[in-house]
Amino acid sequence: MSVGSYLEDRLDRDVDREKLTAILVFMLPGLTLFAIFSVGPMLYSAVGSLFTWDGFTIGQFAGFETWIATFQDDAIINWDNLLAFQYPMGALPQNVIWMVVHVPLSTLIGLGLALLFADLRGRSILRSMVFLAFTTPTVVIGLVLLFVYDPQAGIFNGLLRAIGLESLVRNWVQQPQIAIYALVAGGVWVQTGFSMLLYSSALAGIDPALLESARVDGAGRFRRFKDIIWPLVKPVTAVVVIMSMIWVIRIFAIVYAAGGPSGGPGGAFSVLGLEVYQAAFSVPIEYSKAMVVALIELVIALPMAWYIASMD
Amino acid sequence: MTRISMRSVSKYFDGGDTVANYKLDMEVDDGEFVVFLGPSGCGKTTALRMIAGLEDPSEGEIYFDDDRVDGTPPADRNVAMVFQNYALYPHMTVRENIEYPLKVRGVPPEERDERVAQVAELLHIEDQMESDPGEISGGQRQRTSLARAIVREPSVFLLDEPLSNLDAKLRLEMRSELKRIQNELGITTVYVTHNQEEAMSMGDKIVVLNDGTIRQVADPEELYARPRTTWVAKFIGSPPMNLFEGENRDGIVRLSEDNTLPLPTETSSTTVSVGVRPEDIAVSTEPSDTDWTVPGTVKTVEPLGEYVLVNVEVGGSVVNVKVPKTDAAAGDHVHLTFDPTDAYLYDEDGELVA
Repeated sequence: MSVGSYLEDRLDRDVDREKLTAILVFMLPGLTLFAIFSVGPMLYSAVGSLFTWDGFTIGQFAGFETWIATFQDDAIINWDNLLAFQYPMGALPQNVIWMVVHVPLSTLIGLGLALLFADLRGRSILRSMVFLAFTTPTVVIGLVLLFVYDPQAGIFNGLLRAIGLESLVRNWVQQPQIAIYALVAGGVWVQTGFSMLLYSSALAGIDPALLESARVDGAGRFRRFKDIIWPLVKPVTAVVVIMSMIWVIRIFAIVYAAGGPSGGPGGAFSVLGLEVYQAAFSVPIEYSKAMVVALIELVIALPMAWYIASMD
Repeated sequence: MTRISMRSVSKYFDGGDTVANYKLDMEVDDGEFVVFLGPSGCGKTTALRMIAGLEDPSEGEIYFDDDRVDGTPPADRNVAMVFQNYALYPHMTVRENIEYPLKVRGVPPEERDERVAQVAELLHIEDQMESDPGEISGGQRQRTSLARAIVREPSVFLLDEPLSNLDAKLRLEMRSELKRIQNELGITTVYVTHNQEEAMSMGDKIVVLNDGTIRQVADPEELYARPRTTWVAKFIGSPPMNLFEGENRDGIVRLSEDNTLPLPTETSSTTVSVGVRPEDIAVSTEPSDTDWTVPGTVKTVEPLGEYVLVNVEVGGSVVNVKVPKTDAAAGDHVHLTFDPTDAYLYDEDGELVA
């Protein structure tokens, strides 16, 4: 059936005009807000990124000049260092590394803690303690990380000294090759609370009879996890993974608090959010570059948001 | 196959505050169909779970034949269990559900297929094998859950109120189906229910439980014919046995000021109850010339088709009477009569006087 005849067919049917009007009227406020605050800025950025800007005043049409320049900018992608796997590699690869390390860790540790706490006395206190990090402002987390990793007063180095690993003591956030992992650990601390909470409720939703039935059927601990628990919490895993991917893509405050606007020594742990901020708010102002980087973030995050939104 | 013995098995929860079972002593013979019957909260499910290995007894010993099994995990006991809500794995098809215990035990795929096909045929679910549990009816889920239990040829078959989630018609159907399968396979079976009709119709032997203890172990006929305590008497039968409480004075039971019954059997007990089943009582508007009669007032008459249930008020309590038909109407003064051979006598401890 051609599109034309399909449409005609749809229109010919007795459309309940009154209902249609009502639907449109009720959708109007929501759609308006959505258009002003979501679609509008996206289109504005998409168009704006194709122009030159003088401060915040639009200038000439420049085509993809800014896009090309951005992908050649060492702060965004440092191709030489990337191939040698040497930090700084630029904000985009570093953001991807954040994702690759952070997401599996926070997901699995969250699941592990949820399983551990499931049958424990005082589990609500333990859960609250783990979840506390997620409720803390991320700027504060960044500052706390600075204290934790401080070479003299920091608890982490103190711990290393206490267990006799004196040789490892250093200022973790100032070492270009490891600083990013030190921060990722902080991010994991935050996000684990979130994934643990979601997994806890997913585990509580599993009918205990299923696990008992599996026990009677002869399944040991590992098989019960692999055959029953893991498949049943799969939808939650999808949500947790994608939510933390989106969280990581948007990460800003931890990195800013720990390393300032440059993103650590030589931008060793800079991320996309930081580059947007830099381009837009530090002299020289590069408004179109800020738009390009923001759009890169969006392009990465949008399909994931779409996936979550279209989940059953 | 397997004989189950429970010796002095007790189960406490909350550090001893809750007693789920107290000193259970009983035997299930090889191939026998035993029903645990009792009201909700009587500890019948806990007893079953201890046999399954899902709970460990706080005290006492459980034997399968001559092997002590308490303390061994369920997987090592070769028991199969059917749960009240079926506990089908929702992410697996019917086939995968049935296959699962075999898969876990490392049965090779060809043998697995063969055995799954066999039980599917036995339970008539061949057509649902590729469906998800969510797509099939309650009865089919029940069959799937039975198939999963049967497929690995367990030595003990445990069922926890398996029919309670089915509608009345299906329940009847599955009842005979279950009995058929158990006969065919000859597996030692323990079945938990609060439904006495199920218990009576299926059990070779019934274990009546209340407050965590065994009240009586008997086959269905005996349980009906000789309920050993007033509690069992009031529990078995629908409606259950009527009990006339009174004082025993020189061979006469005084129910109230001007109401007496002869003492059916000798006893030295002063406080006694005379029990009569509703179906053994006759209702008449005329006074009878025997001593075995009690006057009362009809409260309600329930014509149930098969029989008429007459509720008669006698000295403040209601006596249920089952008669084929009656002319009595609400408000009538009637006389209830029964044969002395149908009367049971319970002493002051509620024990049957033999």
